[in-house]
Amino acid sequence: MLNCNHIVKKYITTTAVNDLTLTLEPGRIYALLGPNGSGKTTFMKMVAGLVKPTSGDLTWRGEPIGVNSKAQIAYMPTEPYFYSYMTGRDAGNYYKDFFPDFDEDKYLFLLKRMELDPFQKITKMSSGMMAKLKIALNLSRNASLIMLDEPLNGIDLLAREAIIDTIIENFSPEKIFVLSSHLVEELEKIIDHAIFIKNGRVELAGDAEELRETHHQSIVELYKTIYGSQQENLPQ
Amino acid sequence: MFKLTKYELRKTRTTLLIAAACFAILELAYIIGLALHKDDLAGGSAAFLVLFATFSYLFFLVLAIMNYSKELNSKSSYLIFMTPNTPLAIISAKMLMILLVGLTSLLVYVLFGWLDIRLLIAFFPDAEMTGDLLAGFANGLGIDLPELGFSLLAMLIAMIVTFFMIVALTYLAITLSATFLQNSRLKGLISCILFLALFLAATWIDNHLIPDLYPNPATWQQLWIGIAPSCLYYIVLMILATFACSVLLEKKVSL
Repeated sequence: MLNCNHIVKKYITTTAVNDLTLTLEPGRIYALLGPNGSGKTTFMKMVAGLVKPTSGDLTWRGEPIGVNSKAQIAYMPTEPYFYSYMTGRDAGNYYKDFFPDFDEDKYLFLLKRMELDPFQKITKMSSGMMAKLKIALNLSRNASLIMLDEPLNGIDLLAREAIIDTIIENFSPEKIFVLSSHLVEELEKIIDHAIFIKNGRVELAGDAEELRETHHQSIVELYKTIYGSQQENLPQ
Repeated sequence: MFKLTKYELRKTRTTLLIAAACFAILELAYIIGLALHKDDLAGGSAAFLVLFATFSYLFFLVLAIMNYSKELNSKSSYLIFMTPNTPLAIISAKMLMILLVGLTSLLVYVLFGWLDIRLLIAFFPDAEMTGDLLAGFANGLGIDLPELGFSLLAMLIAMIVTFFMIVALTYLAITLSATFLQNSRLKGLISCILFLALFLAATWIDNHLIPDLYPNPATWQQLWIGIAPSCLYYIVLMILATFACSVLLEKKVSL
């Protein structure tokens, strides 16, 4: 279980995450929703141990984020993060060397399924191919918490469906999946929890079905309500 | 940590291969010069080989610093900092990589230096006589060649220790820039000033507070004992700087 208590992350002129409190539990697929700059990526980076919170408590299974949590948490950044010399095969070998939960056979299977050449240099890949590669790498880890930052970015409509199917296939009740995206319509079909982040805070969070029933709106409509011009109509 | 070192080496492989290719070309030119009795080519390439070996250490220093700075300021840092490794292991792996590259290149230079001298003697037997003549001349001046060798070895060790102290202090300045000073607009400039301040403070302490047991050593043994306190001080400084980097990354990392 991941616990975040009043975490804050401040930069020079901005507060990326502002008093964020939430708990993530196994067996759920969470959608982390919000426009650019709402604090989604900073939150995920803090959970992955890439950014230290300015204040607040962040624990994974009761322990602060550190070496142990990094072995159990997979994070897929939205940006390309590979070394310039790497091919898909090299990236797989890197993950195999450092993450004991990495399944190489599964990775090669996913590469094949996504029609990616393991020997192609990553820097020569298109943004769609790169996104697929990142997903294949991270879903090949048997991590307890998998966070995918904008997994559908740069991917065409048909490939999106294949990626969503792959995500669903790799989910199991002991795992937590966190997916962040602007493409709320695509995520609505698979998520069972939604977390709306606004200005670094949790604006609204809960079971997707309950949110729909309580607010009489779909997740997409709620998104528009929270971040669009209808903000004043959001029920408290 | 060794896996991390493996990837540190892999990242710099292309640069190191280019350096090795340059060295190989110079060696080839030297051998061709000797074989064809082209004194200009052999002499010129020999001079360049000596320059190459000397400046390669400056190059390794710059390479180590650039790689670390680039890593903390690029997205590829995610790849290393996401892994279940402590910041201390990450920094130590980088230091180990530099040590491996430095020692390997030293071995290569010594081996090829010896081979080049043997080749010179093979092609020009007079060269051995010249060597004997120089040795006799040195003896006449009261210079003991084994003593000179041990003294040079002591200086080499002192240079290696100083080299690593500089790397560790630079890493500390870069780490400070990427952690405590991450919110400062002038972090690049401040980290340069920090490095200079740290380096000047370290050398001032060495010159004024660390005892110089033999200011004018008469034997190589005295020289070795004389440099020991400074070397130990620099090693302690290097370890402290490495730990400081690790603590800063642990507490304040922001990639």
